[in-house]
Amino acid sequence: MVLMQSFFKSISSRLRAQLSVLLCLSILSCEAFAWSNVTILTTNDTPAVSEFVKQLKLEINEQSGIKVNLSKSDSGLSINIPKDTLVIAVGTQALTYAGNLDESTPVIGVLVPKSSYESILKDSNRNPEHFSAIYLDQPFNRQLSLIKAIFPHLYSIGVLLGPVSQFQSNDLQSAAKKLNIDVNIRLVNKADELQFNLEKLMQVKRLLLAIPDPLIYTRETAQTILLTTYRHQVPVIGFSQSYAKSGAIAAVFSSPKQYAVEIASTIKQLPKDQVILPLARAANQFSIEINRQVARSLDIQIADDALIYQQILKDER
Amino acid sequence: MKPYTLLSLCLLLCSSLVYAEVSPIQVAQLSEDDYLGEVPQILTIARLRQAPPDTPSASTIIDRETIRAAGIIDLPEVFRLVPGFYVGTNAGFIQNTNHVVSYHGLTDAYSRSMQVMIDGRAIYQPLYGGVQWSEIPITINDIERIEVTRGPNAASYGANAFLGTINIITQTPTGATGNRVSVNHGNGRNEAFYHRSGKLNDLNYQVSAGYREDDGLSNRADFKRTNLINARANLKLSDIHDVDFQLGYAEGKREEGDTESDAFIFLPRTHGISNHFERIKWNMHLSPKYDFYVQAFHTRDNSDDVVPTAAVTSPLPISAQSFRNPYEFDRYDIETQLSAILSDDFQYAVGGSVRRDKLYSPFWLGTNRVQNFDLRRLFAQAQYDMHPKLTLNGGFMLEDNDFTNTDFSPRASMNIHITPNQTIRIGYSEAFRTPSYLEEKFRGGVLIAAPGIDPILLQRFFNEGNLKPEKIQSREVSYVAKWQNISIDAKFFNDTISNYITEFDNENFVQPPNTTPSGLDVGTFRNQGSIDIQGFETQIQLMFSQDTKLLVNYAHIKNFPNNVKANEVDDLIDATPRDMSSFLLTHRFNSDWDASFSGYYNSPVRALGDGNPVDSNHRFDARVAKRFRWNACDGEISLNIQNLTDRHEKEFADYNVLRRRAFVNIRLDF
Repeated sequence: MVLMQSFFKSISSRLRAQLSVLLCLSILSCEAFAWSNVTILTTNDTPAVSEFVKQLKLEINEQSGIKVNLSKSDSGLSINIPKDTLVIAVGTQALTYAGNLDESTPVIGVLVPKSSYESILKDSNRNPEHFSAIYLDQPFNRQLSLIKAIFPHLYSIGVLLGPVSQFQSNDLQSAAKKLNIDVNIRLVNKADELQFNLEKLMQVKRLLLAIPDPLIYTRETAQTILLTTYRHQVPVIGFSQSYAKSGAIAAVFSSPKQYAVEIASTIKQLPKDQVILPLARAANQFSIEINRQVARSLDIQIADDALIYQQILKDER
Repeated sequence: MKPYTLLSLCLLLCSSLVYAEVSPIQVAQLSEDDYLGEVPQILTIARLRQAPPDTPSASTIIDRETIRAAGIIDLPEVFRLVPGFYVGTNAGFIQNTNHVVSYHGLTDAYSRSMQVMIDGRAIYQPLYGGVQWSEIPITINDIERIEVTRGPNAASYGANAFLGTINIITQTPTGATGNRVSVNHGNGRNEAFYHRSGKLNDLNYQVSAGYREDDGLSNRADFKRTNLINARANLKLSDIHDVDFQLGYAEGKREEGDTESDAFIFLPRTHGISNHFERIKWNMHLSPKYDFYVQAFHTRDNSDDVVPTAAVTSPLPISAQSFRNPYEFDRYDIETQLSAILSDDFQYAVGGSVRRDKLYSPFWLGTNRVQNFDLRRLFAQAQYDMHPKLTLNGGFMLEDNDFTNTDFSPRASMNIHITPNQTIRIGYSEAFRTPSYLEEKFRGGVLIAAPGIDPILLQRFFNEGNLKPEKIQSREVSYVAKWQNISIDAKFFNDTISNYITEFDNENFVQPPNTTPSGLDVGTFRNQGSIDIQGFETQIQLMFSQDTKLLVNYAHIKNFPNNVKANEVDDLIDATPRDMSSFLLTHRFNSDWDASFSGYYNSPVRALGDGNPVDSNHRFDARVAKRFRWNACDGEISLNIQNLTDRHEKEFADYNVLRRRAFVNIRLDF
């Protein structure tokens, strides 16, 4: 397992120095422009949300002059938002509530799936320049880079797409085409079609890239998917750290702490009380998780985490 | 239920699905919990298996796809695809409805030198020591994969994991819902099976049931009729605890008997068989580093055989021309194991088990008392990555049983990873083979009434007992390699079997009063001599493309008997085919069509016991399959032809003649 912290330990001191300088410059240059009033809107206290909030406060409080308010709403009926505040909506439910706020209130969603953000944006008729987000989804090119870094000779992958994820088919295909990877897609429209489609996909034994979809990848279906793929000796690339720990061979993801660092950086870079927000995007910072027990059992040799990480970074440049 | 009836029901069900109401798609929104929530660990330490470069001894894994591609209908046939394995159809002379499956020869009808398990549950029979392959209450479709250890594996599975070990792993219920009907029709064999899997709250389950009829070989009394059902369920209590339940039942009829013209005992007849098993396993996933289980199972086998004999002088009443041979066997077993990963470099497993076998076989054992056989075991195994280029495996089994007392079986291997793709394995292991009841305790005889004289006593065996277990010391040097499109496993081996158990005339047998001697020798078993088995075997898998694959197996084996009975030297040398090979070529033409072509060869062999000299065997099989979609059903129809050239292949003995056979299989999933 390698998180960002351990990656920092392993990269060269020269690179570390460069990153430190960049980080300092970023903080110094943005301090004078930052929003003065930020409200963190949450709807639950899951470990991930709590970790994010704790880290964000830590990141922001390091700099004086920014007031951080916390607002927790279970129902969305009585949201207490001060005026002239930038709202950081944490999670899908919080972003849904934030979609009902006054149009002049700028909102940045975080820990939100891309599909959910797009759906809320559409339903709320908000302007994307005032209603932005940093998605939970990792860009396809990053996930494909992970695959290429682990399986340099792989030119074909399998994907299950469901009602929510099927709209990403074109994006995935075009990202894969750039890396000369064929994508074998099977659509799952109903829960009871999962096993059938999975078995079909396993007939071409290569690799399964998991794309989040509430019909396909849940806590309940993890056993079906991971046991079936392991039965066929097919590795799975997950989309979360826990999926990799559960039995996927690897995953690229961003941690709540990394999201907090990125949100803090975004806030600090915004001109004071500027309501024009950067457009929604994926997180820049990421980590990888490699399940070496599973890799070993599948007789797959994988380079050190740091090398894999560097390869992905290199591909992104 | 006949196959056609089952197929008709399925077709009806499929047709009805066309009109089933299609529920509207409910599109849920993704939430952060889908990305950040905890997912229970599914591939736990206990579920992960060692990859070939790390295993302590040579092994072969046969998965579902290989079984399907090879067109395997009868389970034991699949072992023709394992290097060094000899398979003989309906081998026995008396129990002649059973295949023999042996590794490195020394083949007789019962193949006592191998441990066979289903999901870790030992299924070898204590009476003769072999496996009743046709009576196992599972279907081919239930099998997830078959793990074959080519070499002693006592450190993992105890005594009788002697020359090799077969572990048949059935599918774990995954919670997916589905139905499958499979119907097979062909020369001398028809069968139909239904399989259902599903989920009830936290209970994942699957059930298989079916009927099989097999008319056996021509000129032999060996037909089989079998009904079977099995079920497996997994109840998830929490992310830490789950309980696995399994049960199975098979019953049917077997035609058995000696069809030779001069036969006078064990004449052809039909008798009933039945068996069932129940197994419960409590898995505890204590942490990502510790897995623990407790397993208990019970198996029971029944057979009530009324065996006709030829009257010495007729006429005699019917009751005097037959004898009863009832057989009842129960096995109770409790096992526990802890698997742990102490670090990325070190993992181990420790455990123990207790077992009681209860056997009632008055005809063979010469007593009406139920025989108890108790077994206690402690075992430990560890894998240590001493260096990125060196993996060490070590383990032992300490076993105490009622026949041979305490035995200690160690195993050690050194896997040198010369490159990331290539490994040299140097391994040593020891194992014991506990004598079977046939060797240790057979004392039964049959009295045949004859007018004017005392009844004639047919006493085939009168065992002296007190046998030592056979011991094997196995040494292997293997090369394991895997590249993008080719994988190789090559093994040189040198095994020594000492305390060899063999049959002698029992010159100490005292004829009971008021009986007439039959004039035939009375046998007993004793330990004498040793046998060195040396050779080379390899298994190569080539992937010409994503759609074309070739599996090739080859083994060259030579036996060197030492200090055995003088008249047995040649028998032991000839009891193993010198060369054996097989191949399986598979090709997928497109997403619907695929085909396979396989071939099997073994050089001449003279099997021990019931066997007699047979010439070399060449057999070619072909299979073509088409997948199709019909209403709501996904289906496959295949044609499988065995022995394409229709050579009159003789297996195991000259009375076993195999001809060309063709089968059509239809499978529907819905």
